[in-house]
Amino acid sequence: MAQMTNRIKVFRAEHNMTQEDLANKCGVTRQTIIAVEKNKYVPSLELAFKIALVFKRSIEEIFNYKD
Amino acid sequence: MNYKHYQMIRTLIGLLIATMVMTATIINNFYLAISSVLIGMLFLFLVKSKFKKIIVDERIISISGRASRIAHSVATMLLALSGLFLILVGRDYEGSNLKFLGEVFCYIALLLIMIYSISYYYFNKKYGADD
Repeated sequence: MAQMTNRIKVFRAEHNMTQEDLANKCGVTRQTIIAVEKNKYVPSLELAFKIALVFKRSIEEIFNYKD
Repeated sequence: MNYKHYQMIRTLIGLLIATMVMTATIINNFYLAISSVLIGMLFLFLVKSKFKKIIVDERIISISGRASRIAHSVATMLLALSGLFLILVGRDYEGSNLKFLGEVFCYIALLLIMIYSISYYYFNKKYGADD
């Protein structure tokens, strides 16, 4: 089964950012950031790009896809 | 205003509307019921516009989409099956409205399927399926 993992928590810590801050910058709710961090919700491509833009990284650096 | 305050105010307005409608029903006042619902909706709208934070995003939309699909399937199935049951039972009870009620249920189920099909067709077109 394919699985998406991510390093949002790591990058958030690096940028000294709370889930609320990231949510506000991406225009989503804090619950969505929590769900993405816990790999319970796979974000849309648009949200993935927004998160990558906030951290100034590429999507591949943040999200990992395992088949 | 934080999210908790927003939720609290929203619940309070909901409770007030329910109480007013209940009172209006007890005293048989149609205008009081309608006006309390309208005023409540206006207050809800004002509170929502005051609360700037995002409360609906892609995850919420995805969840509500799934919930709607399940609700639609269950409601349609229940209406159709109970409609068929009432039609079958109603045949044995001449003079009762069971058959008529069953037909109404079946038509409502058909209406639900029709609305679903139209909206599916619309969104399918909107999101690029030209073939």
